Amino acid sequence: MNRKSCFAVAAAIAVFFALAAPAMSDTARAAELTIAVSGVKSAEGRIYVALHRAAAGVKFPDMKGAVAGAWSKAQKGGFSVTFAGLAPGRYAVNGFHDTDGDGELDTNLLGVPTEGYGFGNGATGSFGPPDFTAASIAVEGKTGVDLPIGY
Amino acid sequence: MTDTNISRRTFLAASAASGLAGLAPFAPALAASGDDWGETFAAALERNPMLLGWKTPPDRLDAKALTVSGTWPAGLKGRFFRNGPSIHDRFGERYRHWFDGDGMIQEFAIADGRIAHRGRAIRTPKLDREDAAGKRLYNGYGTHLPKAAPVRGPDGMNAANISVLHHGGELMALWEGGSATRLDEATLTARGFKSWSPRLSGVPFSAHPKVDPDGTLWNIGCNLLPRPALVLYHIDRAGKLVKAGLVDAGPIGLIHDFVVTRKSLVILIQPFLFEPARAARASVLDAHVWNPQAETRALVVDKDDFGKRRWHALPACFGFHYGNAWEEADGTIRLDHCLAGNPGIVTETLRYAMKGEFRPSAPLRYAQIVLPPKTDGRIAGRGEEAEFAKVAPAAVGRRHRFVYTLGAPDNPEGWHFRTVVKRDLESGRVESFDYGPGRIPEEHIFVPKPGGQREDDGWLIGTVLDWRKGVSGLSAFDARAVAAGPVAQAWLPYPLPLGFHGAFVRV
Repeated sequence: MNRKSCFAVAAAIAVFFALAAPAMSDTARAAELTIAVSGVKSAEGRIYVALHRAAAGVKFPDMKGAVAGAWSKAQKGGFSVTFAGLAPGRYAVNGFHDTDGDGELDTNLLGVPTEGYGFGNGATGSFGPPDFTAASIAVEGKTGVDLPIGY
Repeated sequence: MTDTNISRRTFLAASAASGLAGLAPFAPALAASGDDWGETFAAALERNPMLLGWKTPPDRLDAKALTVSGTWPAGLKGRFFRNGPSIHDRFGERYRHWFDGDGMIQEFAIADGRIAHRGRAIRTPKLDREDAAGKRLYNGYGTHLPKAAPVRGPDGMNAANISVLHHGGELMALWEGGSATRLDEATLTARGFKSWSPRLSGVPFSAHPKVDPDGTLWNIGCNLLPRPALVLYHIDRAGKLVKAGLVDAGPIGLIHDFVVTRKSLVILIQPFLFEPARAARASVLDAHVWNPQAETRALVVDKDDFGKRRWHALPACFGFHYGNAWEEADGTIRLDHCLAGNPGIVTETLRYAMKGEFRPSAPLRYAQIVLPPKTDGRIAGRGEEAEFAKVAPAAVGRRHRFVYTLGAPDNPEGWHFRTVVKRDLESGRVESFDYGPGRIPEEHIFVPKPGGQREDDGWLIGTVLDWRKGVSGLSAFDARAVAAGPVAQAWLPYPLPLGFHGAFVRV
């Protein structure tokens, strides 16, 4: 993806909740993470992505551990989104394709997701999500991570 | 004791015939040492052609006109579909259980006595992903890969290999622990998983749905990972979901089959229970634990209200298939069951068959289970060896007089069936036809005669492998004269893998 289309997509992304971290100095928030979303099957609905920090008593990908998130109109294939102003450290990434646009990752009667989803580094779990470590990356300066969406 | 004696005798005879007697004691060490199952099976097949039914066939089979002997019944027209584990070898490696082979749909198209056959491997997402990777990726029911790829849900390992259903105008291949796979009727090509509703997408739909005489379909769904759960389905004759429910049944194992009465669904939970914690390092099968001291629990659920349930305790037993069930005026439920004293058939016999090795186990025998309305149930009587029990479609949920099974009376050839059996529950009379040495019959189902009046006005139709000639065939019996043998047979120019369940679709 070239730089221009990347910016175009970035403009379409809405941050759906702000950084939850308390006010920090500029140097403490100098890092940024660019997430390359791929594997999106269709242009229906939206793609949601979220950044998580490890937190005691929170099992990834419980949204209680999420510190930032954004959504974009879905595009077949993928796009990139950059979270700037991050405190350096380890972040796990997850995302899903909200095909029906209801703002939620739909699940079946047994709680298994029925919409596309994925994790940072392409991490996968069997019959459930991967753990925080597998889906996370150390962010400092400008860092990138892959987020393939699977169905 | 009788069970053990018969098993030992058949085992010794089979071992002597196949030259495997000396090999058997070392089998566990071989199994642990590396992937020698493919080579071991190939060598065993050379010595013992009886194993032909466990050989992987080509992905595609076609025969325009089968060789018909006898007179094919004029009214027996339509399509007979069968399914079963078929693709047993992938990328030079062999599955370690018969139940793991990827499914293949077999179609016998019968028109005016002329019969054509098509066989097609079922292209599941599992097969496609493995082919793309150029290697096996996923665990099976009895095969555990040390580095199996993760799956999002059970459909990631869905082999679509147990049975076939034609309902609401749709043809589907059924697996044991995942969704039904839709098949294109014209081409037999897989068309993805069936979703009965968005909430049921990816929820297991078991391989033995029951269809009431009015066309209403009932099924269970048995989920094991990440958490065991039991799902109930009510689907109308057009294939539309009426309702579904989730039952908290406590610990369960894989539940293969169930039965219906006019009023109820009857589900047996045998004490061969799945322990999720074991599944990380073992196959699904090996994560099951047999506890003969525990009871079999029978769950009776009201068809009209899935919330109305009752439980009965039964002695520990193991089996795959029921025939039929009915409810008497006082609420007592009676059902046919083919059961054994333990699950050795699945943990031993049907596992090591993949290696060309015969391991004895307690045989499955015909039994009737009685569930009085307010007390514990009982296993009323055990009869001869029996499996693949079927009844007339018009008798489902009603009191039936006849049940049809396969049998294996003292078969010196080893563990497989040889007879087709008709059991009259009123007179106690049992009649059978013995296919004789060299032939292995598979499930025979009942197809009603158009305009028939009696419960047994119909045909039994089923496949048989003639391993001496190296071909499979299709038999049609008059259900009123089973002992007389097939009225007609149609032979293929090639063998088919031994499979499980079939369905007949009238033209």
